[in-house]
Amino acid sequence: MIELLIKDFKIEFRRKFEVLASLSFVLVSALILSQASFFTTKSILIPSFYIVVVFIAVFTSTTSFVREKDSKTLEGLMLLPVHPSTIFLAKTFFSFILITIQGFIELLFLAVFSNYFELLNLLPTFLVFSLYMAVVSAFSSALVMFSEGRGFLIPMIVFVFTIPIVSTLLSGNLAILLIETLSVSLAIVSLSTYLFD
Amino acid sequence: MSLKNMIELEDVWKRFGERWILKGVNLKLDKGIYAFVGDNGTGKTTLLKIIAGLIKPSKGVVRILGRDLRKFKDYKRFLGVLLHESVLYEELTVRENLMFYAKAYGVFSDLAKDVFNEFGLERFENSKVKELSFGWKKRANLVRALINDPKIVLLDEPFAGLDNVARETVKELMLRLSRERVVVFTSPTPPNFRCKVFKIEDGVVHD
Repeated sequence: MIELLIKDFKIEFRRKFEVLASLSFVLVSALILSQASFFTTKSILIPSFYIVVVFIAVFTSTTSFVREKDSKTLEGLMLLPVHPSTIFLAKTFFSFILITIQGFIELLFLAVFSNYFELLNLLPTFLVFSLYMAVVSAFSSALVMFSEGRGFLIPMIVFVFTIPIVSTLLSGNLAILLIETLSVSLAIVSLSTYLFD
Repeated sequence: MSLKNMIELEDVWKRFGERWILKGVNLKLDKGIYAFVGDNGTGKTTLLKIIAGLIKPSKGVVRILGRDLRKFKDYKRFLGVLLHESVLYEELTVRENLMFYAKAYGVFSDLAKDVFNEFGLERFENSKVKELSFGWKKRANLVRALINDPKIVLLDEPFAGLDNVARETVKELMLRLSRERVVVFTSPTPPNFRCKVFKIEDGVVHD
């Protein structure tokens, strides 16, 4: 699994245009949201930040199984003597790290630009939410990789899976969020074996 | 390990949509070299992918080394598969790609090292795969297919896109491999060397 992760990161960071585009998105959205917050209340930044994380998860979906399918390397992975759920877990961890890095940069710049450093208290909740979104992101990517309509389907699946967790997320109840995340993760990882069949 | 009935297909059928691609294929392959010959769309690649476990048959049983593929969890360790399209990562170098697969299999076999040197791939070792021509990618993919020193070698159109010298090298390699393994390959035209040929026409395999 470590090898799969290392391979994915090497590929990701050699795609300089995509790295730059992701960073630009994070910085520009932080700048716009922080400016908008001066005309309303600072608390609006919390749901806005989570919406940006959902968008990051949608973008990350395209770097997971969809990329393997597009570059025709998926069959090479399927020929490896490893269980499909191992491949799925590796992709999930990869998505988790990508979402966490981008989300953390977003959070940091949002706090600095809006001069609202209380936002950094969201860090534990954000980490659990990142894990949830990573599982959903990898799952949606695996689910639609063979579909021609994946450009439309990926955001739809990610948004549908995000809805049930919104109320827990905004209430800030970390324990319930963690339980929900682990339950969904367990269900999806179990399903992943059948996805590849 | 017994070299009898290394690959066995029993009444294998495959349907894509409404069309039957394979119709009741029965095969028993021991050590040696075999060619699936047929025009485009006759089901050669589908048959190869079914043996590799990449596609599930609609009906029938596939056995590898005498064991039903559906219950044989570890069968991929015994297979080396060259697909028609490259499965190497374009952004990585040839060496990085091969090391990735070697670590995933837990071995970089002497066979793969020998073939790597034989093909003269050392000079492209640190080149990114996207910088290689089709022929060199094919050679690198062939080394990848042999990385685990497989007992069963499945090659989808191994000569396509290769120049005459490379074709000859690959042919020699296949004949050498077939002395101790089962080598199965697909080709649109009958091969110009001695091997057992199965003609595939309209989903039916003929001797």
